[in-house]
Amino acid sequence: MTMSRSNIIFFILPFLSAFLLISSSKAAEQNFSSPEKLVTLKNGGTSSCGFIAKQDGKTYVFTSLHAIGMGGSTILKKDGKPVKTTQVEIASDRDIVRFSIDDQTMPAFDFGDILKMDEPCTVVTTSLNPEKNVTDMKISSGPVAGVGSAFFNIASSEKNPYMLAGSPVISKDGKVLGVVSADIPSLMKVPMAVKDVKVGKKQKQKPKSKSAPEFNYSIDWGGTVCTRISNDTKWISVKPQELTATARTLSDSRNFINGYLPVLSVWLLNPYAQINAGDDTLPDIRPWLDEHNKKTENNAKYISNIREDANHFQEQARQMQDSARSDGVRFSAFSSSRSTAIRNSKLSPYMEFYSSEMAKMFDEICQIISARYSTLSYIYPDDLVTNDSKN
Amino acid sequence: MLKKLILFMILSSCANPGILFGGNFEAARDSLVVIETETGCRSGILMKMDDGVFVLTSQNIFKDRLISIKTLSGKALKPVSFEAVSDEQNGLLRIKTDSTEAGKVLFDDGKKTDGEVSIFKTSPRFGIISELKGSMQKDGLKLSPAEKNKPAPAFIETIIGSPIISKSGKLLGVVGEKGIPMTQYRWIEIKTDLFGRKNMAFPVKTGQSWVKLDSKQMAIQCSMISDAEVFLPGFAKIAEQWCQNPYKPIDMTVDQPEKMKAWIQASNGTIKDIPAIIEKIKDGSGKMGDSMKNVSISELKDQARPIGKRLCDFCPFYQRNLTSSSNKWESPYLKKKAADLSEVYKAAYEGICKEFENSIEGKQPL
Repeated sequence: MTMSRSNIIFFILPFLSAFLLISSSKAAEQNFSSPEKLVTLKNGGTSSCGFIAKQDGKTYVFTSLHAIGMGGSTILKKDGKPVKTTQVEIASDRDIVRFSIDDQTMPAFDFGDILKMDEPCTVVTTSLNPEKNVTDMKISSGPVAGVGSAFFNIASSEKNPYMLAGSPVISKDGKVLGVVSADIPSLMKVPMAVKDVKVGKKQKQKPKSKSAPEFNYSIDWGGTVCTRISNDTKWISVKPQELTATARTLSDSRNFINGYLPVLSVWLLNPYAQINAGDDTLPDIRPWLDEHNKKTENNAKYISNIREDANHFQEQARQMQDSARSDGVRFSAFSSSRSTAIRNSKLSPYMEFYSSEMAKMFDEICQIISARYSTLSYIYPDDLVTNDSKN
Repeated sequence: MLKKLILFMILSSCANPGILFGGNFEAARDSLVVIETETGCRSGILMKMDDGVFVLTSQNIFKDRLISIKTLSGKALKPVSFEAVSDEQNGLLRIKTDSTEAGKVLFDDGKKTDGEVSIFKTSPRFGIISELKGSMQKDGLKLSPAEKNKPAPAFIETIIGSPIISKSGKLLGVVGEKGIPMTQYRWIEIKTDLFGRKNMAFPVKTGQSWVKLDSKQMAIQCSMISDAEVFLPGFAKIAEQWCQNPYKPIDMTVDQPEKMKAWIQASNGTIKDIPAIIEKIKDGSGKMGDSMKNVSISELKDQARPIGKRLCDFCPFYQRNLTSSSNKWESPYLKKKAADLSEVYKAAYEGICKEFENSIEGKQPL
């Protein structure tokens, strides 16, 4: 079978075109030639990103509240030298922090004024590499996928957009369209049959009884939410220490939930069972975990006794129910104290809004725990673990 | 060859992932507004009409205080007055604003209503508008699946109030909701149909007549209806579970209505001693065990009966509230919706009253 010349060209053309499209987008990513306009925020071993840009003829360092939470407010240039700042301001209705700087000659971005749907954009992030003591640069890209009056979305393939917080969103012509912010995390139901639960790196457990919840929970960290730059933004002057402390509360709460949720998942399945903690268990909940395991170490024996002679061990069953309930009350206190702490973050209307929305997730966790330990009062401990065989 | 090349170029441009998000967005951009209330953000559309410039949206989105109406350029619009269309099947709301200019979107001429449409939904927290695809069909609005090989959603809460714009860029209507069965009110239908809320289109047509309304009263009334709508599925689920076996504990979950928590505790409390009673019966000698069993059964039944009555009593509260003569409904749509919902509660009451007696008599606690 022979192919005509035109057919061969027509066959090759799509591949050639696809190659050109891919290589042009890669080139756009790699052609970022202004790393000196980026800064790194450093706090001990953690770091985040910011950038230098001009607004109203003046040069500032811009970043996000979430980037301050991760990286603090010590600002370093590409060469590792610190940037001297004079004043810190936060935008009232959106997630931007700007630092006034002494050196007005630093290379700076300009802001773009029009944000269009589908517009391809690039996000450039810097972070400190503590092993090599150098700054790493990471570039990702994606089109604008949603537009609002103060915020916008980009369809980035980044799995953890939170790590991009504070980075500039740059248009094709090299202007800054916005600053990467952070979405508000929310609880997500995961059907038990699909997902195993894990604590630390050791334990895996599947649902055992019909009295156990049908769902487990995980966190939906959301998409890549970015803040728009506006000339009529109202700026609020804040103290750097106060800003860092408040932003860190939010950041710590995100880290906390990562360690708390796996323990919660195991406890929800069977509050009478031991929880096999891994080495990476949160230090905050370690005392609770130790006490829980101490209280429940003989539960398997007690449950076996109750199963043998429920009438005789009625009091034992009651004690186990009470103990599991008080365990649940103390376990939910971690979540409620987080909720109270972040609700006090009120440096700006944006921060107040973000904190109250994030606190709702902690409140929901409290309700989930409370619903579980309330149900325990009406279910015998052996019912909880043997319902499968009974039904 | 040239024809093929041109065809290929067209196809290549369509393959650009940007078109997935874009579509009609840029054409509608100047007309889109973000409406922020205390419960979050929703969309609306700014349109020039004969008697002013109005934001068109759905009455359903106002369950509490209006905070702001903003265009995508960040301009705040001041609401001057609120009006509802005088049609009991249409929950359209128009808000007169202080603006003198609207965007480029025009009203549809009403000749052809089927075909592909764009729906502009708003993220409730950040007020970010993005575009969803759907189609207008003879039986109403159909949403497209979010991903390939996934079923199309029948209902998305966050698109209520969003404008529906045709492929040619004309406004067809705004998204509303159809949440209660309109024709069947028997308990069996309530149990099965209520969980299937659907989005529907509230059509925008020229020559519709409008009635002014008080926005605060409308928000109170919408909140009352929403409260009744939200309560019903949770209530029906618990009622069904209890009627299947009044002597089985009901697991407490977060999504259960708060108003029912005390009732669940009372119901669970009556049966918490069942395992111990069973053991006592086993312990007793034959005759003693039987008589103790009979006494315990009748005691448990007597305890369950008032709990069943209390379960039924949740319904008349909503039934009467929704049709109370003290309600001066702000729009025909809200009045009709409240009356329909009240009928559903009435049917639920009658259905559960019959079912709970059968359950107590039919099920043996021990």
